[in-house]
Amino acid sequence: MSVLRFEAVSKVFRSSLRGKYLYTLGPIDLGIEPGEIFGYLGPNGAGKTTTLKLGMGLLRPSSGKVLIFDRPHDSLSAKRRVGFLPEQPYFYQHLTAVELLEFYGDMFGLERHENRRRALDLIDKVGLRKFGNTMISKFSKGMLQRIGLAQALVNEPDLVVLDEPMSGLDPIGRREIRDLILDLKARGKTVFLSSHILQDVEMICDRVGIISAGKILEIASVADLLDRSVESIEIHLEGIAASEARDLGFTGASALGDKTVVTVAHQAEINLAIMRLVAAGARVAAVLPLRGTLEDYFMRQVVGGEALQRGVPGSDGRTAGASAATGASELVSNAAGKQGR
Amino acid sequence: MRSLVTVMMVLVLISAAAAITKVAATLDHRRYEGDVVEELTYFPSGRFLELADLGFGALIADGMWLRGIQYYGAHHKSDKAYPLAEHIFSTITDLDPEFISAYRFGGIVLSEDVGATGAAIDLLKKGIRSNPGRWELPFDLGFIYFVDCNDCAKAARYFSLASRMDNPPEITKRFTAFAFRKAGKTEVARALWQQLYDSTGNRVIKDAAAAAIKNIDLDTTVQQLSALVERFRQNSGRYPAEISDLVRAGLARRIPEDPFGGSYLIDGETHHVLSTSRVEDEAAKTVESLTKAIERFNRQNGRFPASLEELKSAGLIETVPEVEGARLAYERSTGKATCNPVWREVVR
Amino acid sequence: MTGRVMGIARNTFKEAVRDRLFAVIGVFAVFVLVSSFVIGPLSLGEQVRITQDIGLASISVLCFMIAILVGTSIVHREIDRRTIYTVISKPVERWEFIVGKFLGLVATVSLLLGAMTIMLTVVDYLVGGGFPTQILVAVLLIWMELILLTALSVLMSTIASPILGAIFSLLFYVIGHTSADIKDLAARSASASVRIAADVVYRTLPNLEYLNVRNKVIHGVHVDTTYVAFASSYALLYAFVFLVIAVMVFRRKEFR
Repeated sequence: MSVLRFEAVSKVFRSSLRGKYLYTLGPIDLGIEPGEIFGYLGPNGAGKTTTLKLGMGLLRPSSGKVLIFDRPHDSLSAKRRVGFLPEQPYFYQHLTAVELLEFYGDMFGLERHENRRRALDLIDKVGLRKFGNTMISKFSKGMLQRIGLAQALVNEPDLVVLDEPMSGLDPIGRREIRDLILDLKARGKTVFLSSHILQDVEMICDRVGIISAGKILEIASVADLLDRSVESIEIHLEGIAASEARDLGFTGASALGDKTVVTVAHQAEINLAIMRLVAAGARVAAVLPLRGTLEDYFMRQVVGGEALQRGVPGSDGRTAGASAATGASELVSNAAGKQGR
Repeated sequence: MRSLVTVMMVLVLISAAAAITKVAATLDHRRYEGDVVEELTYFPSGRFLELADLGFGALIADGMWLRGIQYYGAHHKSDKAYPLAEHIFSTITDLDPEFISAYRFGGIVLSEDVGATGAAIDLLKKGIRSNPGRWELPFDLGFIYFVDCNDCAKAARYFSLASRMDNPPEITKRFTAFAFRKAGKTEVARALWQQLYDSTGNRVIKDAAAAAIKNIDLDTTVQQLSALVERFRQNSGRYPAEISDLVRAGLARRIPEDPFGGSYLIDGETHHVLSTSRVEDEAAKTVESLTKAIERFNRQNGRFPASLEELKSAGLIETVPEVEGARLAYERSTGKATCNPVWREVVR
Repeated sequence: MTGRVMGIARNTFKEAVRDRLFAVIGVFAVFVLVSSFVIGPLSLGEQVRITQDIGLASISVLCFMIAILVGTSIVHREIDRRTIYTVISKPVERWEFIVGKFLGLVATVSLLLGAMTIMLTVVDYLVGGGFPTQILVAVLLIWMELILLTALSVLMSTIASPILGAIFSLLFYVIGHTSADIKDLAARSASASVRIAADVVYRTLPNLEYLNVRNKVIHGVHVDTTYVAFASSYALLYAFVFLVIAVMVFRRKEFR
């Protein structure tokens, strides 16, 4: 049983009452399995947040249905087992951190003492221990992100849905949140997160789904994707000079510090290459497969694939293709935050 | 499921709307029960209002003016009693002393409908003090003095004042002349009413003027006919039986028309000329006031009076009324008073 | 269920009361009541009546301002600032959200109303008005009117921006108080469509004058309990209608 399942879900948007621009998301078919961390990737305007909103009942699907734990996604019983962190969250400015969490605790019907206990516990867990009685109006972006994660965990949910959980955090913060998410998995929870920080996704997700211009391009495990992207293998050698290696026929051989690096195109050729080099007196120091990063894979899929797609308007008025390209360049420079919608 | 809930909500809305209509009807009914004191609260005292009005005097006066018109209209349709009229118009003019229409309308209502000539005069005098230079106010005041008080001297003085204002219409001079010459009262009065009819845009005043003109014409015709009846008797030694006799005798060219649509009769006994419409009108009024008195008697004593005399001794009427040309009757068992014109009985 | 509604209500109350606007109006209210105390001696013996009149009028106007200004922005602000995302994604029914907001607002307005009423009765007592039970009757109906207006402003905030909502509510207030006059005036109009239009307005929009017994009370006209009961149910029925419509609108809302 999938924890969260989208069955042929699509959503039609009109840009104005007379519907000049038509933008369709989907159809989306997606199933999140129990206990996994699923990463949802895509450039700005691809439809990540829209998908999540459809899942959480903030938007209604034009067709198809969404099931959470096999129940209708907007039923109360489903919502009781889910925690949600929206992107760029904003919380009631007039409350303190503890009051905010207790408010959400009220929504789950928590008893007063249990409510307070959990609130304090969560504030500690997300690293805001000293700020329990500070007004939300004084919170920085990073602090908002953390309290946002805390409120998503108030009900100890079995499914946690996170929209850009790392946005606005410094490297320390991102590490802490990554650890938190891994901890959730260790305790048997399922996590569905969307992000455009590929490094983080690569590090913690089991599977990823790639969405672009409202359509899902691919769903696969991270390992598979990275395996597919092995481009070549480097052999690091000692006791042989680069020029000698070149004489042996390894044309791309180069020196790296006190070692020589030889590149081999395919897995199958490794043994033969090593035998030849060792016979020439070299010692193997290391054998390293060069994987393309998820980023390279992503760029190829998204930007390359764009040529096949019709340019549809994104929510910020530009075509998905254009935003994919700029989105991609943003990914490369790793800018945080998104353009205004 | 979702649409079922929507349908349920719509049904709930409809039943709530029905409930609201019912409650509103009850509230409406209770509001217009004609409590005088309650009515008064819609026209708070001007003195108090000035303190609170913070410079919006004219605006509040406008609001009171609208309410005052409705007050007049409501009572004109029902009991024709306007106990608050003086308070209303004096307050409006306190709030906005330059509200000319309030003085004029107030003056007419107070003198013609309420019969409070003194109050009307005070109101117009107040208006003249605050608005020297407006001819309309002294003109109206002269009108009242002439028609209601029969005081030609004062009337003439005010007409004359009006004629000396800025841009007086020519009529003011003519009326001054009339008053000073003291040409017969009915002619001047009629001319005054006609002028009012022609100059005003206020429909209520127009109707009042038209009715007054008709009444004056009726009176004039009756007078003229009576004079002719006397001449007939002098000529022929007996009284004419009907108006057409006068025509046949050559004293009148044709049977005159009653402006209210009735006809003229000569009473068989008194030989007075009667107007059927006048008689019917008076008879109706008499019945109305008697019925009110009888009801009051009934409420006080739990039964109908034995006779109209008893009403008089109970102090509910001044005298037992008499209507020339109609027969007054009272039936004790039903408490009904009737006053039927004589000619109806003859026909039956 | 009630836990969630009350949770939202409590939160709304906290938000409204901690809002600077509330404090400003609260201070202003004190100012007005004190000034009526001061004006009194200038009024040539009408001090009691002036105190009561200014007092009741200011209670009515200031609480109305709170109800409208805070009410019309409250739901809209949540949607605008997206604080609503985290609430809607919790197991909360849409109607619970609306009712909770409404109750929180009513509590806020009632707080101001209660405080001002206490001050008024104290001031009134000091200027020699005795203990005015009828004043409390007038306040009760003012409270009913405020409940109606609060429900209206919640409805407005689900369908319009705060400024537009406030304008509509103000218009509503004015028409509500003059609808009887509108009907009377229109009855004299020659045009049938004007008469019909005015009649429709009179019948559908609440006649807020039913809830205004201030003049009667000040002039000592007694208002009986039956009338109070009917007028209160009138106001509450309308409030109910507004809330139902607000829930219906809110259920269909999507949050882009």
